[in-house]
Amino acid sequence: MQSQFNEEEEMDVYNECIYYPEYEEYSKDKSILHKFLSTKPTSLLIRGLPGTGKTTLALELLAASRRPGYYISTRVSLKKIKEYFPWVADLLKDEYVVKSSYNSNSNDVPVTDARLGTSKAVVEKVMDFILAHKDAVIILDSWDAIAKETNMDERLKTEKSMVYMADANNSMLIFISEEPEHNTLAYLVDSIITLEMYYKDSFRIRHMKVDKMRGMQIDYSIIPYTLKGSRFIPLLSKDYSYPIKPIQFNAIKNSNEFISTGSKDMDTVLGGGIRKGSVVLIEREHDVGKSYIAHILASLTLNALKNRLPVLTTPAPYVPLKSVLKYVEPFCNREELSLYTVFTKDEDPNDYMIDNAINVCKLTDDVSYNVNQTCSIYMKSVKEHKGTILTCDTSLANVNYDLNEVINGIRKVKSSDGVLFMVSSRDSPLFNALQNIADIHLRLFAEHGVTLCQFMRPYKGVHAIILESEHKGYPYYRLVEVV
Amino acid sequence: MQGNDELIAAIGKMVREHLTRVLGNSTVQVIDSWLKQRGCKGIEDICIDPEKVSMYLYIIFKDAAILLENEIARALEDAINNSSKDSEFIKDIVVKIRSYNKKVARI
Repeated sequence: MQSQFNEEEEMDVYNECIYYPEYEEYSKDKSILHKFLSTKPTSLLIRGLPGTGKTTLALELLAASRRPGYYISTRVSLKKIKEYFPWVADLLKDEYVVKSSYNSNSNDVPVTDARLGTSKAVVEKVMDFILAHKDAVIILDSWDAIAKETNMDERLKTEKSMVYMADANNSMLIFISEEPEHNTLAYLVDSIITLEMYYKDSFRIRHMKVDKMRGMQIDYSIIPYTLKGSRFIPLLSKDYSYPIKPIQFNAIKNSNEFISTGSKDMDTVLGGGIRKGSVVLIEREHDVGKSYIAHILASLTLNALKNRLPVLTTPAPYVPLKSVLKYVEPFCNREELSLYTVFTKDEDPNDYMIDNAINVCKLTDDVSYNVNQTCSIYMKSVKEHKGTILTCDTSLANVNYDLNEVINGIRKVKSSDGVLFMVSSRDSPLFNALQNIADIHLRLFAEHGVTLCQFMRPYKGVHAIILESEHKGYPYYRLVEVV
Repeated sequence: MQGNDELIAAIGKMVREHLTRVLGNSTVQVIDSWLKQRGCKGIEDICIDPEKVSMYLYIIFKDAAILLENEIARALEDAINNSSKDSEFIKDIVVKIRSYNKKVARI
């Protein structure tokens, strides 16, 4: 699949996850990896099965440490490493090239191809580099490959010697292990990170387990991550995100054919946005925070209003009007708000009508009347404005809809220039019908505290949803592909 | 010193065995060649220039080297008790190792 970010944006996601100290308080993964590096650890064991991203994590830590680095490879040639990790290719240099043009200010990371080496040769390289460069970071990828050729007693002693050398000279050794069951390092090293992956509904989920970090309190011991773009990107978890200083929503222009979701990432994954006349089903699992639904709907709503497209919203019955308006009202002007209609059962919606230009329609206890009223207002609006967006949250509705009425309503939307967004859950009485009718089906679920969006129809894989409204100033989210 | 060749070889062997027991064969071989690059004959030079070898071990292992060298000194002391041969020569090596360690510990 084509990347949904350009290179600069991809770096932003990465930076916000790992590098920038100002994001530390918002990012659990960031605080762990950076706090870990700031404790000046002397040894780290990264273990996991082939394909889990051990080398990627080690190279990320090496790059983030900004310390003299050395990479000893016992499995892959320098040429292949550069091919696999193009973002670090400029940094990695053949050991002999670095030696011949040695410059103490250089950031070059020498790479030794130790595929035919012995444990003695590896110890020699480690010792030479540690003594020549204080504060060094050395990656042994993988130590197992060499160590398993020696007996257990010799292996233990060699590991102990190297760790003590690193400790004595303020350096850090990163051991990579593909055979966790045979590993002898666990008791010796400062920190252990285990990378794991498993399959769920035909896609792969990766997470890192922080088994040990000496001298550090571990608040989150399991952190999902993605290897998007051969980078190690830990995924953020945020239950709530709201702009610190609200500003006007930065809209994306709608095209003749497509209506934008208000999210560049979502539009890209969907191939340009939502085609007019589409029905979109957002399937919400119960462990997904309402803030995620609010962000998806608010971005869509605000973008439509900024494009002078009317939006009709029926929030979930339990959501007060105030909570709905909180994500819309501060981010657009009065003229734009006049295109916004909310259907609510709130007892006294007039308070909101007095204070702003929003249209508030009172819902009754008669479900049939409500459906027909909504359809009628929608059709009138589409005719008048050549397009309208209708959003309905039925995820927790314990309402006995007349299925025929709802399906008739949906048919009208499909033959119009508007778009219908339905939020629903599997236990909703409408779910099966919506699932069959929907042109686009997104499934939101949580995994180890991270909210993921699976693009079921069209099938576009799984993306983590990252809420970033605080700093953006308006409801804003990004999607990071989970690979 | 010429009369002590046999003793020097025995001490060198003992030191090498002790270091191998603690650090492993690969590490001792690496340290050996590293010392050779710095003008020593190898770990056996502990008999000829104990302070120099102590200093190099300290460069590699810092504080961890102090205990390592104390253990070497203790092994040599044990050797004195088990042998009547030129104990003054071994005592001198032990004193030099320990005095270097004391200097380092004070720093």
